[in-house]
Amino acid sequence: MKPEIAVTICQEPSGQLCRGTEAIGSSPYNVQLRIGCPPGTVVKALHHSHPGGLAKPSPADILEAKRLGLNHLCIENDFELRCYKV
Amino acid sequence: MEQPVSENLVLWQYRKVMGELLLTQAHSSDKSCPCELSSEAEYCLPKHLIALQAYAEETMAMVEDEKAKGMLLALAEGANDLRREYEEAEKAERPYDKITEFARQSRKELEPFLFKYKQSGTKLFQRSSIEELKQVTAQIGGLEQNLRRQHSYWVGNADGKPQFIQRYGKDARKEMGTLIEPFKASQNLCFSGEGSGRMELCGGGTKMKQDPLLTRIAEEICTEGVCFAGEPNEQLPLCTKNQAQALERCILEVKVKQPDRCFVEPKAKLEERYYKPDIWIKDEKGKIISSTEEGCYSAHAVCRASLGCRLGAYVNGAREAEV
Repeated sequence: MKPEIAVTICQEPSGQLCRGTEAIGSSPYNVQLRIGCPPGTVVKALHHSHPGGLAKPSPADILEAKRLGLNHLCIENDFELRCYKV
Repeated sequence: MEQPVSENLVLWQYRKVMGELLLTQAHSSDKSCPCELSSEAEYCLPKHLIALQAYAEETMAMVEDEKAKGMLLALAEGANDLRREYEEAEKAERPYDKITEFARQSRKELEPFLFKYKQSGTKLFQRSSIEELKQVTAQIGGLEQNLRRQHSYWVGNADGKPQFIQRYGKDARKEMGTLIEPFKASQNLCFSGEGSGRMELCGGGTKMKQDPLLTRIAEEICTEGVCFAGEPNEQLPLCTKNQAQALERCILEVKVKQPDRCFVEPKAKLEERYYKPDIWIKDEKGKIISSTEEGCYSAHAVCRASLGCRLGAYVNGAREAEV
Protein backbone atom coordinates (compact mmCIF):
# COMPACT_ATOMS: atom_id res chain seq x y z
CA MET A 1 0.00 0.00 0.00
CA LYS A 2 1.18 3.51 -0.71
CA PRO A 3 2.27 5.75 2.17
CA GLU A 4 -0.05 8.42 3.48
CA ILE A 5 0.47 11.92 2.17
CA ALA A 6 -0.68 15.28 3.48
CA VAL A 7 -0.81 18.76 1.96
CA THR A 8 -1.77 22.07 3.48
CA ILE A 9 -4.17 23.96 1.20
CA CYS A 10 -3.72 27.70 1.60
CA GLN A 11 -5.68 30.74 0.46
CA GLU A 12 -4.43 34.12 -0.63
CA PRO A 13 -6.30 37.32 0.36
CA SER A 14 -7.67 37.40 -3.18
CA GLY A 15 -9.28 34.02 -2.62
CA GLN A 16 -6.83 32.06 -4.70
CA LEU A 17 -5.82 28.66 -3.44
CA CYS A 18 -2.29 27.37 -3.44
CA ARG A 19 -0.31 24.57 -1.90
CA GLY A 20 1.39 24.97 1.44
CA THR A 21 3.61 22.43 3.12
CA GLU A 22 3.53 18.87 1.93
CA ALA A 23 4.67 15.63 3.45
CA ILE A 24 4.79 11.96 2.73
CA GLY A 25 4.47 9.43 5.53
CA SER A 26 6.53 6.39 6.27
CA SER A 27 3.48 4.10 6.17
CA PRO A 28 -0.16 4.11 4.97
CA TYR A 29 -1.23 5.11 8.47
CA ASN A 30 1.18 7.83 9.38
CA VAL A 31 2.35 11.17 8.16
CA GLN A 32 3.98 14.09 9.89
CA LEU A 33 3.05 17.46 8.49
CA ARG A 34 4.26 20.82 9.59
CA ILE A 35 1.22 22.90 8.75
CA GLY A 36 2.38 26.00 6.97
CA CYS A 37 1.49 28.38 4.19
CA PRO A 38 3.40 30.84 2.03
CA PRO A 39 3.70 34.38 3.43
CA GLY A 40 0.50 36.36 2.99
CA THR A 41 -1.71 33.30 2.79
CA VAL A 42 -3.74 31.49 5.42
CA VAL A 43 -4.50 27.85 6.06
CA LYS A 44 -7.72 26.95 4.29
CA ALA A 45 -7.84 23.18 4.40
CA LEU A 46 -5.87 20.07 5.09
CA HIS A 47 -5.68 17.40 2.44
CA HIS A 48 -4.51 13.92 3.31
CA SER A 49 -4.85 10.42 1.98
CA HIS A 50 -6.34 7.23 3.39
CA PRO A 51 -4.51 4.55 1.42
CA GLY A 52 -6.67 1.46 1.38
CA GLY A 53 -9.42 3.24 3.29
CA LEU A 54 -12.42 5.38 2.52
CA ALA A 55 -12.42 8.95 1.25
CA LYS A 56 -14.11 10.11 4.42
CA PRO A 57 -12.61 11.71 7.48
CA SER A 58 -12.71 9.72 10.65
CA PRO A 59 -14.30 11.36 13.70
CA ALA A 60 -10.79 11.85 15.00
CA ASP A 61 -9.86 13.68 11.79
CA ILE A 62 -12.81 16.00 12.27
CA LEU A 63 -12.15 16.66 15.91
CA GLU A 64 -8.54 17.47 15.22
CA ALA A 65 -9.48 19.73 12.32
CA LYS A 66 -11.84 21.59 14.63
CA ARG A 67 -9.23 21.85 17.32
CA LEU A 68 -6.70 23.20 14.85
CA GLY A 69 -9.20 25.66 13.41
CA LEU A 70 -9.20 24.14 9.94
CA ASN A 71 -12.34 24.86 7.93
CA HIS A 72 -12.15 22.08 5.42
CA LEU A 73 -10.81 18.58 5.10
CA CYS A 74 -10.08 16.91 1.79
CA ILE A 75 -9.55 13.18 1.94
CA GLU A 76 -8.61 10.87 -0.85
CA ASN A 77 -8.34 7.13 -1.00
CA ASP A 78 -7.12 4.96 -3.85
CA PHE A 79 -10.13 5.81 -5.97
CA GLU A 80 -11.52 9.25 -5.24
CA LEU A 81 -11.05 12.57 -3.49
CA ARG A 82 -13.70 14.20 -1.35
CA CYS A 83 -13.79 17.54 0.47
CA TYR A 84 -15.79 18.27 3.60
CA LYS A 85 -16.61 21.30 5.64
CA VAL A 86 -15.76 20.73 9.27
CA MET B 1 -34.12 -19.88 32.57
CA GLU B 2 -32.36 -19.95 29.23
CA GLN B 3 -28.98 -21.60 29.26
CA PRO B 4 -26.13 -19.54 27.83
CA VAL B 5 -24.71 -20.78 24.57
CA SER B 6 -21.75 -23.04 25.21
CA GLU B 7 -18.31 -21.70 24.62
CA ASN B 8 -17.62 -24.63 22.33
CA LEU B 9 -20.38 -23.53 19.99
CA VAL B 10 -19.20 -19.93 19.98
CA LEU B 11 -15.68 -21.14 19.33
CA TRP B 12 -16.93 -23.23 16.42
CA GLN B 13 -18.69 -20.15 15.01
CA TYR B 14 -15.56 -18.04 15.37
CA ARG B 15 -13.55 -20.71 13.58
CA LYS B 16 -16.00 -20.67 10.70
CA VAL B 17 -15.78 -16.90 10.47
CA MET B 18 -12.00 -17.07 10.60
CA GLY B 19 -11.96 -19.67 7.83
CA GLU B 20 -14.15 -17.53 5.61
CA LEU B 21 -11.97 -14.50 6.26
CA LEU B 22 -8.82 -16.40 5.32
CA LEU B 23 -10.41 -17.70 2.12
CA THR B 24 -11.76 -14.25 1.26
CA GLN B 25 -8.35 -12.67 1.74
CA ALA B 26 -6.61 -15.39 -0.26
CA HIS B 27 -9.04 -15.25 -3.17
CA SER B 28 -9.26 -11.46 -3.37
CA SER B 29 -5.52 -10.90 -3.17
CA ASP B 30 -4.64 -13.46 -5.83
CA LYS B 31 -5.73 -12.24 -9.24
CA SER B 32 -4.94 -15.62 -10.74
CA CYS B 33 -7.54 -17.36 -8.57
CA PRO B 34 -9.53 -19.37 -11.11
CA CYS B 35 -12.82 -18.67 -9.40
CA GLU B 36 -12.56 -15.06 -10.60
CA LEU B 37 -12.01 -15.99 -14.22
CA SER B 38 -14.96 -15.16 -16.40
CA SER B 39 -14.88 -18.64 -17.91
CA GLU B 40 -15.42 -20.17 -14.47
CA ALA B 41 -18.01 -17.70 -13.20
CA GLU B 42 -17.80 -19.11 -9.69
CA TYR B 43 -18.23 -15.75 -7.95
CA CYS B 44 -16.48 -17.13 -4.92
CA LEU B 45 -15.89 -13.72 -3.35
CA PRO B 46 -19.55 -12.72 -3.04
CA LYS B 47 -20.26 -16.22 -1.75
CA HIS B 48 -17.63 -15.91 0.94
CA LEU B 49 -18.91 -12.46 1.84
CA ILE B 50 -22.44 -13.81 2.17
CA ALA B 51 -21.16 -16.62 4.38
CA LEU B 52 -19.23 -14.12 6.48
CA GLN B 53 -22.27 -11.96 6.96
CA ALA B 54 -24.42 -14.96 7.87
CA TYR B 55 -21.95 -16.42 10.36
CA ALA B 56 -21.31 -13.03 11.94
CA GLU B 57 -25.01 -12.29 12.36
CA GLU B 58 -25.67 -15.76 13.74
CA THR B 59 -22.78 -15.51 16.20
CA MET B 60 -23.92 -12.09 17.39
CA ALA B 61 -26.96 -13.72 18.93
CA MET B 62 -24.77 -16.17 20.83
CA VAL B 63 -22.40 -13.79 22.57
CA GLU B 64 -23.06 -11.42 25.42
CA ASP B 65 -19.83 -9.46 25.30
CA GLU B 66 -20.65 -6.06 23.83
CA LYS B 67 -17.22 -5.79 22.26
CA ALA B 68 -17.67 -9.10 20.51
CA LYS B 69 -21.13 -8.05 19.35
CA GLY B 70 -19.71 -4.80 18.00
CA MET B 71 -16.92 -6.60 16.18
CA LEU B 72 -19.39 -9.05 14.62
CA LEU B 73 -21.84 -6.31 13.66
CA ALA B 74 -19.08 -4.37 11.92
CA LEU B 75 -17.95 -7.53 10.18
CA ALA B 76 -21.46 -8.36 8.97
CA GLU B 77 -22.11 -4.83 7.70
CA GLY B 78 -18.69 -4.60 6.08
CA ALA B 79 -19.18 -7.92 4.30
CA ASN B 80 -22.62 -6.85 3.12
CA ASP B 81 -21.41 -3.47 1.84
CA LEU B 82 -18.48 -4.99 -0.01
CA ARG B 83 -20.60 -7.74 -1.54
CA ARG B 84 -22.98 -5.11 -2.91
CA GLU B 85 -20.09 -3.05 -4.20
CA TYR B 86 -18.59 -6.12 -5.86
CA GLU B 87 -21.85 -7.08 -7.51
CA GLU B 88 -22.59 -3.58 -8.76
CA ALA B 89 -19.10 -2.93 -10.13
CA GLU B 90 -17.92 -3.63 -13.63
CA LYS B 91 -15.55 -6.55 -13.75
CA ALA B 92 -12.49 -4.36 -14.13
CA GLU B 93 -13.53 -2.23 -11.18
CA ARG B 94 -14.31 -4.89 -8.63
CA PRO B 95 -12.98 -3.85 -5.19
CA TYR B 96 -10.44 -6.64 -4.74
CA ASP B 97 -8.03 -4.48 -2.75
CA LYS B 98 -10.77 -3.28 -0.42
CA ILE B 99 -11.95 -6.80 0.19
CA THR B 100 -8.42 -7.99 0.91
CA GLU B 101 -7.85 -5.19 3.39
CA PHE B 102 -11.23 -5.72 4.99
CA ALA B 103 -10.60 -9.45 5.41
CA ARG B 104 -7.15 -8.92 6.82
CA GLN B 105 -8.20 -6.26 9.33
CA SER B 106 -11.29 -8.23 10.34
CA ARG B 107 -9.19 -11.30 10.95
CA LYS B 108 -6.94 -9.34 13.27
CA GLU B 109 -10.01 -8.09 15.12
CA LEU B 110 -11.34 -11.59 15.47
CA GLU B 111 -8.15 -13.25 16.64
CA PRO B 112 -8.34 -12.07 20.28
CA PHE B 113 -11.85 -13.48 20.58
CA LEU B 114 -11.00 -16.76 18.91
CA PHE B 115 -7.79 -17.47 20.73
CA LYS B 116 -8.81 -16.29 24.18
CA TYR B 117 -10.24 -19.76 24.73
CA LYS B 118 -6.74 -21.11 24.59
CA GLN B 119 -5.13 -18.32 26.57
CA SER B 120 -7.23 -17.66 29.63
CA GLY B 121 -5.84 -14.75 31.55
CA THR B 122 -4.36 -13.13 28.48
CA LYS B 123 -5.17 -9.46 28.25
CA LEU B 124 -7.27 -9.01 25.17
CA PHE B 125 -7.43 -6.26 22.60
CA GLN B 126 -3.87 -5.08 22.86
CA ARG B 127 -3.91 -2.64 20.03
CA SER B 128 -1.04 -0.41 21.02
CA SER B 129 0.97 -1.14 17.92
CA ILE B 130 -1.96 -0.28 15.69
CA GLU B 131 -2.76 2.80 17.72
CA GLU B 132 0.80 3.98 17.34
CA LEU B 133 0.48 3.67 13.59
CA LYS B 134 -2.49 5.95 13.69
CA GLN B 135 -0.68 8.75 15.43
CA VAL B 136 -0.12 11.81 13.32
CA THR B 137 1.99 14.66 14.49
CA ALA B 138 1.54 18.19 13.22
CA GLN B 139 3.63 21.15 14.14
CA ILE B 140 1.84 24.46 14.24
CA GLY B 141 3.63 27.62 15.08
CA GLY B 142 6.61 25.60 16.18
CA LEU B 143 4.53 23.56 18.64
CA GLU B 144 4.10 19.90 18.02
CA GLN B 145 0.47 18.81 18.08
CA ASN B 146 -0.69 15.25 18.28
CA LEU B 147 -3.20 14.31 15.65
CA ARG B 148 -4.99 11.04 15.69
CA ARG B 149 -6.32 9.72 12.46
CA GLN B 150 -7.67 6.38 11.53
CA HIS B 151 -8.96 4.61 8.51
CA SER B 152 -12.56 5.52 8.22
CA TYR B 153 -13.52 2.04 9.12
CA TRP B 154 -11.34 2.12 12.18
CA VAL B 155 -13.42 4.26 14.42
CA GLY B 156 -11.83 5.17 17.72
CA ASN B 157 -13.01 7.15 20.69
CA ALA B 158 -12.38 10.84 20.53
CA ASP B 159 -10.55 10.80 23.84
CA GLY B 160 -7.88 8.68 22.31
CA LYS B 161 -8.79 5.36 23.86
CA PRO B 162 -8.99 2.50 21.40
CA GLN B 163 -12.48 1.29 20.75
CA PHE B 164 -11.59 -2.21 19.52
CA ILE B 165 -14.40 -2.19 17.00
CA GLN B 166 -13.87 -2.23 13.31
CA ARG B 167 -16.64 -0.38 11.68
CA TYR B 168 -17.18 -0.12 8.01
CA GLY B 169 -19.42 1.50 5.50
CA LYS B 170 -22.87 2.21 6.80
CA ASP B 171 -21.87 2.41 10.41
CA ALA B 172 -19.11 4.89 9.74
CA ARG B 173 -21.28 6.95 7.41
CA LYS B 174 -23.91 7.22 10.11
CA GLU B 175 -21.41 8.91 12.37
CA MET B 176 -20.18 11.15 9.59
CA GLY B 177 -23.69 12.42 9.05
CA THR B 178 -23.83 13.88 12.52
CA LEU B 179 -20.46 15.55 12.30
CA ILE B 180 -20.22 16.97 8.81
CA GLU B 181 -22.38 19.47 7.08
CA PRO B 182 -22.33 20.15 3.35
CA PHE B 183 -21.05 23.44 2.07
CA LYS B 184 -21.32 25.24 -1.21
CA ALA B 185 -18.38 25.88 -3.45
CA SER B 186 -16.55 29.16 -3.06
CA GLN B 187 -17.35 31.85 -5.53
CA ASN B 188 -14.62 32.69 -7.98
CA LEU B 189 -12.32 29.95 -6.83
CA CYS B 190 -8.92 30.47 -8.36
CA PHE B 191 -5.61 28.79 -8.10
CA SER B 192 -2.27 30.42 -7.77
CA GLY B 193 -0.30 30.75 -10.98
CA GLU B 194 3.05 30.77 -9.24
CA GLY B 195 5.60 28.05 -9.64
CA SER B 196 5.38 24.94 -11.69
CA GLY B 197 2.28 22.83 -11.70
CA ARG B 198 -0.03 25.66 -10.77
CA MET B 199 -3.29 26.69 -12.31
CA GLU B 200 -4.84 30.06 -12.59
CA LEU B 201 -8.38 30.41 -13.76
CA CYS B 202 -10.26 33.47 -12.65
CA GLY B 203 -13.32 35.16 -13.99
CA GLY B 204 -13.25 33.25 -17.24
CA GLY B 205 -9.68 34.25 -18.11
CA THR B 206 -7.52 31.21 -18.39
CA LYS B 207 -3.85 30.66 -17.76
CA MET B 208 -3.30 27.13 -16.90
CA LYS B 209 -0.50 24.97 -15.76
CA GLN B 210 -2.29 22.25 -14.05
CA ASP B 211 -1.79 21.21 -10.47
CA PRO B 212 -3.24 17.70 -10.32
CA LEU B 213 -4.18 17.92 -6.66
CA LEU B 214 -5.81 21.34 -6.77
CA THR B 215 -7.60 20.45 -9.97
CA ARG B 216 -8.99 17.34 -8.36
CA ILE B 217 -10.11 19.31 -5.33
CA ALA B 218 -11.86 21.81 -7.60
CA GLU B 219 -13.48 18.98 -9.49
CA GLU B 220 -14.62 17.30 -6.32
CA ILE B 221 -16.14 20.50 -5.07
CA CYS B 222 -17.87 21.46 -8.23
CA THR B 223 -18.48 18.54 -10.53
CA GLU B 224 -21.96 18.12 -9.16
CA GLY B 225 -22.23 21.66 -7.90
CA VAL B 226 -21.88 20.35 -4.38
CA CYS B 227 -19.15 20.06 -1.87
CA PHE B 228 -20.40 17.09 0.03
CA ALA B 229 -21.30 14.49 -2.50
CA GLY B 230 -23.77 12.84 -0.15
CA GLU B 231 -26.13 15.79 -0.41
CA PRO B 232 -27.36 15.88 -4.00
CA ASN B 233 -29.75 18.77 -3.40
CA GLU B 234 -27.00 21.21 -2.50
CA GLN B 235 -26.27 22.78 -5.88
CA LEU B 236 -24.53 25.85 -7.10
CA PRO B 237 -26.87 28.63 -8.15
CA LEU B 238 -27.87 28.97 -11.79
CA CYS B 239 -25.66 31.29 -13.80
CA THR B 240 -27.04 34.58 -14.96
CA LYS B 241 -27.11 35.11 -18.70
CA ASN B 242 -23.74 36.88 -18.67
CA GLN B 243 -22.22 34.30 -16.37
CA ALA B 244 -23.52 31.50 -18.59
CA GLN B 245 -21.84 33.07 -21.61
CA ALA B 246 -18.60 33.44 -19.66
CA LEU B 247 -18.88 29.86 -18.47
CA GLU B 248 -19.33 28.52 -21.98
CA ARG B 249 -16.39 30.61 -23.24
CA CYS B 250 -14.32 29.32 -20.33
CA ILE B 251 -15.20 25.70 -21.11
CA LEU B 252 -14.12 26.12 -24.72
CA GLU B 253 -10.88 27.79 -23.68
CA VAL B 254 -10.05 25.12 -21.14
CA LYS B 255 -10.89 22.29 -23.51
CA VAL B 256 -8.45 23.43 -26.16
CA LYS B 257 -5.66 23.46 -23.60
CA GLN B 258 -6.12 19.81 -22.74
CA PRO B 259 -3.76 17.28 -24.31
CA ASP B 260 -5.15 15.57 -27.40
CA ARG B 261 -5.23 12.19 -25.73
CA CYS B 262 -7.91 13.51 -23.37
CA PHE B 263 -10.34 13.39 -26.26
CA VAL B 264 -9.41 10.11 -27.81
CA GLU B 265 -9.10 7.76 -24.86
CA PRO B 266 -12.10 6.12 -23.24
CA LYS B 267 -13.28 7.88 -20.12
CA ALA B 268 -12.52 4.91 -17.88
CA LYS B 269 -8.94 4.92 -19.03
CA LEU B 270 -8.65 8.64 -18.51
CA GLU B 271 -9.89 8.29 -14.98
CA GLU B 272 -7.47 5.50 -14.33
CA ARG B 273 -4.62 7.69 -15.49
CA TYR B 274 -5.94 10.83 -13.92
CA TYR B 275 -6.59 9.35 -10.52
CA LYS B 276 -3.50 7.25 -10.52
CA PRO B 277 -1.58 8.28 -7.42
CA ASP B 278 1.64 7.96 -9.39
CA ILE B 279 1.09 11.44 -10.71
CA TRP B 280 2.80 12.36 -7.48
CA ILE B 281 6.47 11.75 -7.31
CA LYS B 282 8.80 12.72 -4.51
CA ASP B 283 12.24 14.24 -4.61
CA GLU B 284 15.29 12.91 -2.83
CA LYS B 285 14.19 14.62 0.39
CA GLY B 286 10.84 12.91 0.35
CA LYS B 287 8.90 16.03 -0.61
CA ILE B 288 6.04 15.42 -2.98
CA ILE B 289 6.35 17.11 -6.31
CA SER B 290 4.06 16.77 -9.26
CA SER B 291 5.08 14.73 -12.22
CA THR B 292 5.48 16.47 -15.51
CA GLU B 293 2.80 14.43 -17.16
CA GLU B 294 -0.31 16.43 -17.80
CA GLY B 295 -3.52 14.81 -16.70
CA CYS B 296 -7.03 15.26 -18.00
CA TYR B 297 -9.79 17.03 -16.15
CA SER B 298 -13.30 18.22 -16.59
CA ALA B 299 -13.46 21.64 -18.21
CA HIS B 300 -17.03 21.98 -16.99
CA ALA B 301 -16.00 21.35 -13.40
CA VAL B 302 -13.04 23.70 -13.47
CA CYS B 303 -15.10 26.50 -14.99
CA ARG B 304 -18.02 26.00 -12.64
CA ALA B 305 -15.50 26.28 -9.82
CA SER B 306 -14.20 29.49 -11.29
CA LEU B 307 -17.55 31.17 -11.80
CA GLY B 308 -19.40 29.67 -8.86
CA CYS B 309 -22.52 28.86 -10.82
CA ARG B 310 -23.91 26.16 -13.07
CA LEU B 311 -25.59 26.11 -16.43
CA GLY B 312 -29.31 25.62 -16.48
CA ALA B 313 -31.13 23.05 -18.55
CA TYR B 314 -32.18 23.73 -22.13
CA VAL B 315 -35.73 25.06 -22.28
CA ASN B 316 -37.19 25.78 -25.73
CA GLY B 317 -33.74 25.88 -27.29
CA ALA B 318 -32.25 28.29 -24.74
CA ARG B 319 -30.45 27.82 -21.46
CA GLU B 320 -32.43 28.33 -18.32
CA ALA B 321 -30.72 31.20 -16.50
CA GLU B 322 -30.97 33.29 -13.36
CA VAL B 323 -32.39 36.74 -14.04
